[in-house]
Amino acid sequence: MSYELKPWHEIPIGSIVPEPGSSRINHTGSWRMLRPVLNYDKCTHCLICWIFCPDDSIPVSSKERYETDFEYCKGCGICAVECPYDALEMVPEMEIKLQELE
Amino acid sequence: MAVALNKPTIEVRWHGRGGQGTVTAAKMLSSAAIIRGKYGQAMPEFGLERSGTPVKVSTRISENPINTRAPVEEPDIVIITDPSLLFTIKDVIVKGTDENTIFIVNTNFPPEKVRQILGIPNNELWIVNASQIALDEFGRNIPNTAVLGAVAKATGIVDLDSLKQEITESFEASSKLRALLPQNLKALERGYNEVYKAD
Amino acid sequence: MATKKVVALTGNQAAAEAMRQINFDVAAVYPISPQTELMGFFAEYVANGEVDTDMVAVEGEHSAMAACIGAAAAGARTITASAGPGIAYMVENLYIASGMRLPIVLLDVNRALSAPLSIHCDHADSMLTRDTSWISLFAENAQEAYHHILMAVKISEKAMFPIIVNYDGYIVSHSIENVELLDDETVQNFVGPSGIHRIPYPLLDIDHPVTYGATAQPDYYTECKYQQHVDFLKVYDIVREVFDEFAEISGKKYDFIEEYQTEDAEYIGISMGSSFGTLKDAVDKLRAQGKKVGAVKITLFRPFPRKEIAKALSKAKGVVVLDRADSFDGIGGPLFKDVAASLSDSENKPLLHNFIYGLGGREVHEEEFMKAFERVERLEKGIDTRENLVEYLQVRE
Repeated sequence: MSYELKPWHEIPIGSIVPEPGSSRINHTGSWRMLRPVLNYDKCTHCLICWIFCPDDSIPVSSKERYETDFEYCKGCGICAVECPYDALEMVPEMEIKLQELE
Repeated sequence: MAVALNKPTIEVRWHGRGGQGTVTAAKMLSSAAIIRGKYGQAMPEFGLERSGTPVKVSTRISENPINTRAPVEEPDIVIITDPSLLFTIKDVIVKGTDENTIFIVNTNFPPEKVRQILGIPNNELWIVNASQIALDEFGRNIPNTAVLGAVAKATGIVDLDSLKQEITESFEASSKLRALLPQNLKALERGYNEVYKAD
Repeated sequence: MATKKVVALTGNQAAAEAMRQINFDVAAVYPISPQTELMGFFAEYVANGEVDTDMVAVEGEHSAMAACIGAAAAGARTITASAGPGIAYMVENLYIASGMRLPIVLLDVNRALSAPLSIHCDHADSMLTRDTSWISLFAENAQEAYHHILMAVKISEKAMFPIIVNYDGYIVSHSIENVELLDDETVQNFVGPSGIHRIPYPLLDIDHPVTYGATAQPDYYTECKYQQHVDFLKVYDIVREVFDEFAEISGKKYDFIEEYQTEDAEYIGISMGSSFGTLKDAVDKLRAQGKKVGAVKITLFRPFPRKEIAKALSKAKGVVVLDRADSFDGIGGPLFKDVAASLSDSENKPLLHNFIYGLGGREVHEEEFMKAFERVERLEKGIDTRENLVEYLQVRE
């Protein structure tokens, strides 16, 4: 994992985690083997995917969803299963990585 | 014999992902060596054992009893069972390696890409598309038995027959896995036959 | 000599195999990592009818030990297992088990204590048991865990004290290695038949009713404890006896401590559990540099092998005492104080220094132990000075 390990004297007393939202440093996107690819033509912005996403990885603004946050999307595929409009397709991450490389 | 293999204790480091059988494969590798009267050790590094999380396992195979319990820091052989790790934990994979380290990678990438990503222009590199073999043979991306076949061919640290024996014994002992034994033996043999040494 | 075969097993698999071969009467258990897998393996044997054991699922570790106490008082051969916080939750009943002089085997798959939460290995859990008058063995690897469990049954029943077999969580419990197994018949002959005849006062012998767990007023309590004290000192001889008997069937001779390269050693490291192999490799590396160093492993932790330790250290100049748990008491870890006390009557007073290592599963390398040896040599030669008797070996500054 890519966060910095603190020396002993910088750890808050009682081993507490003093800030909210600390799971942001855990970039669970690195676990992903399948990527949800969004077909914007089919998406109606019903936001059911946003409700179901267990990692809060679907950004929403002005009642519209935007591209999945791949820093945190684990590729669980729940969004693709729940989408009533078949707007999400789970594609092997490696295929995409390979295309990017070329 | 490769420099990395010409010593009494061979140290192997595995990089895989939770749910793909990497820990099982590492244990089977040591078990196969133990079947042949050698000494074997397989130590998983337990972190977040969730599907998809990177998993690291240390394996030692030796002519002599193994004392140390330290994780393998300077591996003779590095085995990568999931190719996507090349992108996410490249630095972890190459840590402690040198020009003699042998790499065995499950991927459909061309070898030159693997060399480029890992920065290993001259290392001995073996490539096997174990995920494809697993998908062909039993329809799931659990590449571990095919990877084991590749390891036997690439390094000779265990032989194919002892791996067959080990896989047969452990699959037959499990009511869940028993039905998948023939397909996994096929995957093992295909891994052995289809792995190739990169230029 | 018995037939033996070498197989590849994890520590938990080897422990489950020992339990299957003993084929004991009652297992009362509650799951906790890294012990869960062990009892999972054993539950499979129970479900498949491969053993005659009654497996009692209870609502927590305190109850697990309570059920074991009941079963053992009735004369049942009883084994349970736990780890870390599970051991902590058991502690009250551990004192009751030993006070009632019941033979029970407890496998402690060593795990750290919270907070912060950790499921990984250290010896803090076992140190909760060190004053409970349980006999305590520490296994270095899966092979020793397997052997210790077989011997523990016999030691416990001969001594009429409960016994703990410790092996390191994950490092031993979940790692594969070579394990040489004895055949079932040999194990059965070694442990002997189970049954109420082994207990002087079986709880369920209705022709001779007895009370377990009675009150003792101030006029009795001291005498009860003194009897326990005197009998606990007899455990040394019983352990030696069983170690000897076991050597006959297994070819492996255990001792209270294991010495490595101590013959001419000026500096000696002492550890318990899985780190001893790593310590031996550190000794080899230092020997290759011309350093006269050695290592001692504690196999029998309770009662503590004070005479053997004093003898092993009788020529040493400096001692590296390695504790996998801190006592937070301004002195040092539990093992350090035991070693120091063991030298009370020694003419030779080596410099002792304590190092805390491997907490919460921190990986241990030879180089760290080599640094500890170097530190002790510098202290002994007066090059370094110290403010405390204890320091941490692997802390991030």
